[in-house]
Amino acid sequence: MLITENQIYLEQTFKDRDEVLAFIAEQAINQDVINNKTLLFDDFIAREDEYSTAVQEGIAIPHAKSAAVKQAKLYFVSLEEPISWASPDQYQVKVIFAILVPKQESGTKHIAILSALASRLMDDDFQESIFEIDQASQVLNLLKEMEEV
Amino acid sequence: MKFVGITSCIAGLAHTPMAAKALEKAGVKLGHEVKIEQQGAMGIVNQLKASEISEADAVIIAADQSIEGEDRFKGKPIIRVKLGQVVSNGEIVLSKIAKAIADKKKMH
Repeated sequence: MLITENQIYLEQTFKDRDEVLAFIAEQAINQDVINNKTLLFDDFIAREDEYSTAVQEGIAIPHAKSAAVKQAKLYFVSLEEPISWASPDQYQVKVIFAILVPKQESGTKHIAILSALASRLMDDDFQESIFEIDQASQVLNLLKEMEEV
Repeated sequence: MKFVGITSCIAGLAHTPMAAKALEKAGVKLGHEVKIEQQGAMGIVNQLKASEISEADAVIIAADQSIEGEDRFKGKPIIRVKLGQVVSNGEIVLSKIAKAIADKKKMH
Protein backbone atom coordinates (compact mmCIF):
# COMPACT_ATOMS: atom_id res chain seq x y z
CA MET A 1 0.00 0.00 0.00
CA LEU A 2 1.28 3.40 -0.96
CA ILE A 3 -0.60 5.08 1.85
CA THR A 4 -2.48 3.94 4.93
CA GLU A 5 -4.11 5.89 7.74
CA ASN A 6 -0.76 6.01 9.51
CA GLN A 7 0.58 8.27 6.79
CA ILE A 8 -2.24 10.78 6.96
CA TYR A 9 -2.00 13.79 9.29
CA LEU A 10 -4.90 16.22 9.29
CA GLU A 11 -5.20 19.73 10.67
CA GLN A 12 -1.58 19.95 11.78
CA THR A 13 0.27 23.06 12.86
CA PHE A 14 3.74 23.84 11.52
CA LYS A 15 5.55 27.11 11.08
CA ASP A 16 7.36 26.51 7.80
CA ARG A 17 8.33 24.14 5.02
CA ASP A 18 11.39 22.67 6.74
CA GLU A 19 9.40 21.82 9.82
CA VAL A 20 6.91 19.85 7.71
CA LEU A 21 9.67 17.99 5.89
CA ALA A 22 11.46 17.17 9.15
CA PHE A 23 8.16 15.89 10.58
CA ILE A 24 7.62 13.59 7.59
CA ALA A 25 11.19 12.29 7.81
CA GLU A 26 10.64 11.60 11.52
CA GLN A 27 7.43 9.65 10.87
CA ALA A 28 9.02 7.77 7.98
CA ILE A 29 11.93 6.51 10.07
CA ASN A 30 9.63 5.47 12.91
CA GLN A 31 7.48 3.56 10.41
CA ASP A 32 10.50 1.83 8.86
CA VAL A 33 9.85 3.44 5.48
CA ILE A 34 13.36 4.93 5.35
CA ASN A 35 16.71 4.08 6.89
CA ASN A 36 18.22 7.54 7.14
CA LYS A 37 16.32 10.58 8.32
CA THR A 38 18.97 13.17 7.52
CA LEU A 39 19.53 11.87 4.01
CA LEU A 40 15.81 11.95 3.22
CA PHE A 41 15.50 15.48 4.57
CA ASP A 42 18.52 16.61 2.54
CA ASP A 43 17.11 15.00 -0.61
CA PHE A 44 13.81 16.79 -0.06
CA ILE A 45 15.61 20.11 0.32
CA ALA A 46 17.82 19.49 -2.71
CA ARG A 47 14.67 19.07 -4.79
CA GLU A 48 13.09 22.20 -3.34
CA ASP A 49 16.24 24.14 -4.15
CA GLU A 50 16.12 23.06 -7.80
CA TYR A 51 12.59 24.30 -7.97
CA SER A 52 9.93 24.65 -5.38
CA THR A 53 7.38 21.86 -5.16
CA ALA A 54 4.67 24.33 -4.19
CA VAL A 55 3.30 24.34 -7.69
CA GLN A 56 -0.14 25.82 -7.21
CA GLU A 57 -1.73 27.97 -4.58
CA GLY A 58 -2.31 25.82 -1.50
CA ILE A 59 -0.60 22.62 -2.59
CA ALA A 60 2.95 21.31 -2.30
CA ILE A 61 4.29 17.95 -3.41
CA PRO A 62 7.71 17.54 -1.87
CA HIS A 63 9.31 14.43 -3.33
CA ALA A 64 12.49 12.48 -3.02
CA LYS A 65 13.82 9.64 -5.09
CA SER A 66 16.28 8.75 -2.42
CA ALA A 67 18.72 6.06 -1.34
CA ALA A 68 17.22 6.51 2.13
CA VAL A 69 13.84 5.16 1.04
CA LYS A 70 13.14 1.45 1.53
CA GLN A 71 9.65 1.33 0.05
CA ALA A 72 7.57 3.78 -1.97
CA LYS A 73 5.17 5.73 0.23
CA LEU A 74 2.93 8.72 0.12
CA TYR A 75 2.36 11.01 3.10
CA PHE A 76 -0.55 13.39 3.32
CA VAL A 77 -0.46 16.40 5.63
CA SER A 78 -3.09 19.12 5.88
CA LEU A 79 -2.52 22.26 7.91
CA GLU A 80 -4.69 24.27 10.20
CA GLU A 81 -3.11 27.49 8.92
CA PRO A 82 -1.34 27.96 5.55
CA ILE A 83 2.44 28.41 5.62
CA SER A 84 5.09 29.80 3.31
CA TRP A 85 6.85 27.18 1.18
CA ALA A 86 9.68 29.50 0.11
CA SER A 87 8.45 29.29 -3.48
CA PRO A 88 9.24 31.96 -6.08
CA ASP A 89 5.51 32.36 -6.70
CA GLN A 90 4.95 33.02 -2.99
CA TYR A 91 2.37 30.28 -2.77
CA GLN A 92 0.93 29.61 0.66
CA VAL A 93 0.60 25.90 1.34
CA LYS A 94 -2.19 24.16 3.17
CA VAL A 95 -2.07 20.63 1.79
CA ILE A 96 1.05 18.53 1.35
CA PHE A 97 1.49 15.30 -0.60
CA ALA A 98 4.96 13.99 0.14
CA ILE A 99 6.24 11.34 -2.23
CA LEU A 100 9.00 8.97 -1.15
CA VAL A 101 10.46 6.62 -3.72
CA PRO A 102 13.54 4.35 -3.57
CA LYS A 103 16.34 5.69 -5.72
CA GLN A 104 16.40 2.79 -8.14
CA GLU A 105 12.67 2.41 -8.62
CA SER A 106 11.22 3.30 -11.99
CA GLY A 107 8.42 2.16 -14.26
CA THR A 108 6.50 0.41 -11.47
CA LYS A 109 2.85 0.57 -10.55
CA HIS A 110 3.74 2.85 -7.64
CA ILE A 111 5.41 5.34 -9.92
CA ALA A 112 2.44 5.20 -12.27
CA ILE A 113 0.07 6.04 -9.42
CA LEU A 114 2.25 8.86 -8.15
CA SER A 115 2.59 10.31 -11.65
CA ALA A 116 -1.17 10.08 -12.11
CA LEU A 117 -1.64 11.89 -8.81
CA ALA A 118 0.80 14.63 -9.80
CA SER A 119 -0.96 15.25 -13.06
CA ARG A 120 -4.44 15.15 -11.48
CA LEU A 121 -3.25 17.86 -9.11
CA MET A 122 -3.33 20.23 -12.08
CA ASP A 123 -7.12 19.80 -12.38
CA ASP A 124 -9.08 22.62 -10.81
CA ASP A 125 -11.89 20.29 -9.69
CA PHE A 126 -9.45 17.87 -8.17
CA GLN A 127 -7.72 20.68 -6.30
CA GLU A 128 -10.99 21.78 -4.81
CA SER A 129 -11.82 18.29 -3.63
CA ILE A 130 -8.43 18.15 -1.94
CA PHE A 131 -8.99 21.34 -0.01
CA GLU A 132 -12.22 19.88 1.33
CA ILE A 133 -10.58 16.82 2.82
CA ASP A 134 -11.22 16.51 6.53
CA GLN A 135 -11.15 12.75 7.00
CA ALA A 136 -8.46 10.17 6.38
CA SER A 137 -10.93 8.02 4.46
CA GLN A 138 -11.23 10.74 1.81
CA VAL A 139 -7.51 10.57 1.15
CA LEU A 140 -7.62 6.79 0.91
CA ASN A 141 -10.55 6.91 -1.52
CA LEU A 142 -8.73 9.41 -3.67
CA LEU A 143 -5.78 7.09 -3.99
CA LYS A 144 -8.02 4.12 -4.69
CA GLU A 145 -9.47 6.09 -7.58
CA MET A 146 -5.97 6.71 -8.84
CA GLU A 147 -5.10 3.02 -8.81
CA GLU A 148 -8.02 2.23 -11.05
CA VAL A 149 -6.87 4.59 -13.77
CA MET B 1 -1.69 26.37 -33.75
CA LYS B 2 -0.23 22.93 -33.22
CA PHE B 3 2.48 22.24 -30.71
CA VAL B 4 4.35 19.17 -29.68
CA GLY B 5 6.75 19.01 -26.78
CA ILE B 6 8.76 17.09 -24.24
CA THR B 7 8.78 17.36 -20.48
CA SER B 8 11.51 15.78 -18.42
CA CYS B 9 12.78 16.37 -14.89
CA ILE B 10 15.54 14.69 -12.94
CA ALA B 11 13.39 12.65 -10.59
CA GLY B 12 10.81 12.16 -13.31
CA LEU B 13 8.13 11.80 -10.69
CA ALA B 14 6.07 14.89 -10.42
CA HIS B 15 7.19 17.81 -12.56
CA THR B 16 7.33 15.75 -15.74
CA PRO B 17 3.62 14.79 -15.73
CA MET B 18 2.55 18.08 -14.15
CA ALA B 19 4.27 20.23 -16.75
CA ALA B 20 2.82 18.08 -19.53
CA LYS B 21 -0.64 18.42 -18.07
CA ALA B 22 -0.22 22.16 -17.59
CA LEU B 23 0.67 22.68 -21.26
CA GLU B 24 -2.12 20.45 -22.52
CA LYS B 25 -4.60 22.19 -20.26
CA ALA B 26 -3.38 25.58 -21.48
CA GLY B 27 -3.79 24.35 -25.05
CA VAL B 28 -7.44 23.48 -24.49
CA LYS B 29 -8.07 26.88 -22.92
CA LEU B 30 -6.26 28.89 -25.58
CA GLY B 31 -7.49 26.83 -28.53
CA HIS B 32 -4.19 25.25 -29.57
CA GLU B 33 -3.53 21.60 -30.23
CA VAL B 34 -0.87 20.48 -27.78
CA LYS B 35 0.64 17.03 -27.39
CA ILE B 36 3.41 16.49 -24.89
CA GLU B 37 5.65 13.47 -24.55
CA GLN B 38 6.71 12.71 -20.97
CA GLN B 39 10.19 11.38 -20.36
CA GLY B 40 10.14 10.48 -16.69
CA ALA B 41 10.32 7.64 -14.22
CA MET B 42 7.65 5.80 -16.22
CA GLY B 43 9.88 5.79 -19.28
CA ILE B 44 8.36 7.48 -22.31
CA VAL B 45 4.66 8.27 -21.95
CA ASN B 46 2.48 9.65 -24.72
CA GLN B 47 5.18 9.26 -27.36
CA LEU B 48 5.03 11.72 -30.25
CA LYS B 49 4.30 10.34 -33.71
CA ALA B 50 6.40 11.46 -36.65
CA SER B 51 3.27 12.87 -38.30
CA GLU B 52 2.46 14.95 -35.21
CA ILE B 53 5.96 16.37 -35.19
CA SER B 54 5.87 17.26 -38.87
CA GLU B 55 2.49 18.99 -38.54
CA ALA B 56 3.51 20.99 -35.47
CA ASP B 57 4.19 24.72 -35.72
CA ALA B 58 6.79 24.49 -32.98
CA VAL B 59 8.36 22.21 -30.41
CA ILE B 60 8.29 23.05 -26.71
CA ILE B 61 10.97 21.53 -24.53
CA ALA B 62 10.61 21.82 -20.76
CA ALA B 63 13.46 19.80 -19.33
CA ASP B 64 16.24 20.15 -16.83
CA GLN B 65 18.33 17.43 -18.36
CA SER B 66 19.09 16.27 -21.89
CA ILE B 67 16.14 14.61 -23.57
CA GLU B 68 15.89 11.53 -25.70
CA GLY B 69 15.40 11.84 -29.42
CA GLU B 70 15.91 15.55 -29.89
CA ASP B 71 17.07 14.83 -33.46
CA ARG B 72 13.41 14.15 -34.33
CA PHE B 73 12.82 17.90 -34.22
CA LYS B 74 15.49 18.87 -36.74
CA GLY B 75 14.38 21.87 -38.77
CA LYS B 76 11.55 22.80 -36.39
CA PRO B 77 11.45 25.90 -34.25
CA ILE B 78 12.33 24.73 -30.74
CA ILE B 79 11.37 26.73 -27.68
CA ARG B 80 12.98 25.86 -24.37
CA VAL B 81 11.14 26.77 -21.21
CA LYS B 82 11.66 26.21 -17.51
CA LEU B 83 9.76 23.31 -16.00
CA GLY B 84 8.78 25.21 -12.88
CA GLN B 85 7.43 28.08 -14.97
CA VAL B 86 5.32 25.71 -17.05
CA VAL B 87 3.82 23.99 -14.03
CA SER B 88 2.91 27.22 -12.27
CA ASN B 89 1.99 29.36 -15.27
CA GLY B 90 1.26 27.02 -18.16
CA GLU B 91 -1.19 29.38 -19.81
CA ILE B 92 1.11 32.39 -19.77
CA VAL B 93 4.01 30.33 -21.11
CA LEU B 94 1.96 28.86 -23.94
CA SER B 95 0.42 32.16 -24.98
CA LYS B 96 3.87 33.78 -25.13
CA ILE B 97 5.17 30.94 -27.28
CA ALA B 98 2.16 31.13 -29.59
CA LYS B 99 2.66 34.87 -30.01
CA ALA B 100 6.38 34.49 -30.73
CA ILE B 101 5.70 31.85 -33.40
CA ALA B 102 2.93 33.95 -34.96
CA ASP B 103 5.22 37.01 -35.11
CA LYS B 104 7.97 34.96 -36.68
CA LYS B 105 5.60 33.67 -39.35
CA LYS B 106 4.50 37.18 -40.22
CA MET B 107 8.09 38.21 -40.82
CA HIS B 108 8.62 35.53 -43.46
